[in-house]
Amino acid sequence: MKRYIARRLLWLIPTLLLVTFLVYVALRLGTNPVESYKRANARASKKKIQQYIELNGLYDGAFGYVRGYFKWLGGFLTGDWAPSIKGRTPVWPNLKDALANSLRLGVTASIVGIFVGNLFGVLAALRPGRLRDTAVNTGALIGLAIPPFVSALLLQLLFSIYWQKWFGYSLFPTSGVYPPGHQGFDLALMLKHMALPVVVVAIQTIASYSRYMRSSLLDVLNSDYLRTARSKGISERQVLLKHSLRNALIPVTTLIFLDIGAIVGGLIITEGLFEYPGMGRFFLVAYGNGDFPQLMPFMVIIVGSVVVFNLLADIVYARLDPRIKLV
Amino acid sequence: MSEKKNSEVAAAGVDAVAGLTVASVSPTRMAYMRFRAHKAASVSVVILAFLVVYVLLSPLTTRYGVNEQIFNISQGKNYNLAPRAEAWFGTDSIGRDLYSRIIFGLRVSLLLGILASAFSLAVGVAVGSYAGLKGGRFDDVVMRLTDVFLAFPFLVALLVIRNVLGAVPWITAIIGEPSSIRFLVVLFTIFGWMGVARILRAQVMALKEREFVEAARAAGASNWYIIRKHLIPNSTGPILVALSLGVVGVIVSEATLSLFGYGPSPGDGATSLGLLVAESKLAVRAGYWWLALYPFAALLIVTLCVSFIGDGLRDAFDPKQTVEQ
Repeated sequence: MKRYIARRLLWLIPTLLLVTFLVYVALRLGTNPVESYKRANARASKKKIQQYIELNGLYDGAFGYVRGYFKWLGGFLTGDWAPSIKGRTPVWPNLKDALANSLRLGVTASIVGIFVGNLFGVLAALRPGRLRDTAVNTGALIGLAIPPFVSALLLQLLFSIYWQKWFGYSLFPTSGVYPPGHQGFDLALMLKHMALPVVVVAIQTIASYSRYMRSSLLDVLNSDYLRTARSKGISERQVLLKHSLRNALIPVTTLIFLDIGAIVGGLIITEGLFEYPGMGRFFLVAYGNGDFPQLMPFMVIIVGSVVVFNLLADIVYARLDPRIKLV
Repeated sequence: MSEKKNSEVAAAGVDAVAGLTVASVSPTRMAYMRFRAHKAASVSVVILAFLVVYVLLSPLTTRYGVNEQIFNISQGKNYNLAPRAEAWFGTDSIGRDLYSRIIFGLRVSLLLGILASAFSLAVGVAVGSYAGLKGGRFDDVVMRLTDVFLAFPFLVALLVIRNVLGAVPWITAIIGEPSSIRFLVVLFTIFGWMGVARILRAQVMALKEREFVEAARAAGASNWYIIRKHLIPNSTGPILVALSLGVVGVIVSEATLSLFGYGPSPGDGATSLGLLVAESKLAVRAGYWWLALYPFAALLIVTLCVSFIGDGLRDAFDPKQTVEQ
């Protein structure tokens, strides 16, 4: 086990290096950082532009890409990050806030979605082929077929705009974390702003987890060791709680880890539509400006979290399921 | 649900035995019967077929031109009108008939979806089955490549690749500017083939150990022959499922891109479902519900029908059910 983890951790380094290099090349080709800089700073002098090129290591030619990548990597690792192209603001404070906002939204939605989804999955699997099962299955299918922007815009229409028309006040606001101009921390106000985006994300989570939990539990319920447990004479309650659910949760746990890794960059559509200042908004704005110094750290964080949580998922799976032998 | 279906399929066999005429049921026929037993899927096929015919007959079914502003300004305001007899789904912000525009938009979106997923399917089936059959270096490279793409959120990867393709002059010379339909077909194909390739690869890895593939190989068949004659026909189910879900995936992706302003501009005399959805974003804020509701309804009919059809196909081609038969 220890050797397996050590080897996987070692592999992490070349994987991350390769992926970030590919991202570096793609972003330099795609955003054309020098042109975007000129567009953002129309009156920048030649000297300023040259400074920008030097600072970010935007050298020309095939070898220039490799040299530039290592210059960027050195700066990134030592915390010496280039400022954004618009207004030369430092990148990390903005990115940190965006990350915190996204995590708050994503984790809340995941907790709600995973809990409710698993509950539905269990309820369905306990009565396979019956009405309850069909309802959960069909519901999940419909939930997955509704694109997030449709549910987002419909919820806004109903709970903000039309609620305002009918009752004179809007139940949930359509955008942001706080109303414009708000200062300080206010939990109730924050939750109110988070309600609709959380529902949008949770619909998808509930749908996918209910299907997953259902099939996982059905597998366990049909297994031989459950028959053995029953023939030992333990109660149905014990069979369900101790033998079935615990085993059915093993593959689901893996999925949970994979999903946590994807939270950081996976809420772009929802955040974009609710103007929620998370990682998705951060990306959309930076992408729109072609802001290379902001896009690179963003990419590293989202890829890093996916890769690391993939590894964690594998390790957790191996630890939970004694049948898996690691080499 | 599946139990009922099995009993129905089994019942057909029992009847044949009782009448002592042993009529054999071909696997395709069995799949068809199982599909018919999936009520939601069967209904979805009818609805979707009706919708496609309705859209194809757009010269007859639309009431106004795609950019035609209905009735004269002198008759009063003609923009942002709620649904009424002159405009069944209301009018948009510059007085165009939403009903007609949805039909025109669906036509472009369906075309985009079908083209992109057909290309994805062709590339994905070829690469996936070859990688599954050959294994080795080729397989490794393809699978690592798809891993890299999957490590990114879909929209991020889509937008970054869109930029890269758009920045290289000789590529845009071939596939057009980033806002052209041709460009989007290529973009969605680049993302679509990987999913298909993964499914096909898994399918082929399972199939290639079977006796009939071994027999074909013993008889001297080439890789390509085995892929064509044995592996693809035996993977019909997953291929059909991937195709149907692929069409919806493209339509939804197109809408998402449009929503953030990176969608197609199909030129004068055309629109797309995604562009209508994008217009609805502003309409929602202003409270014009029809501008959101009808495009969404059109989109949801397509996505829901295809999901049910995919579910039905999955049941119909499930090998476990064939074994029971």
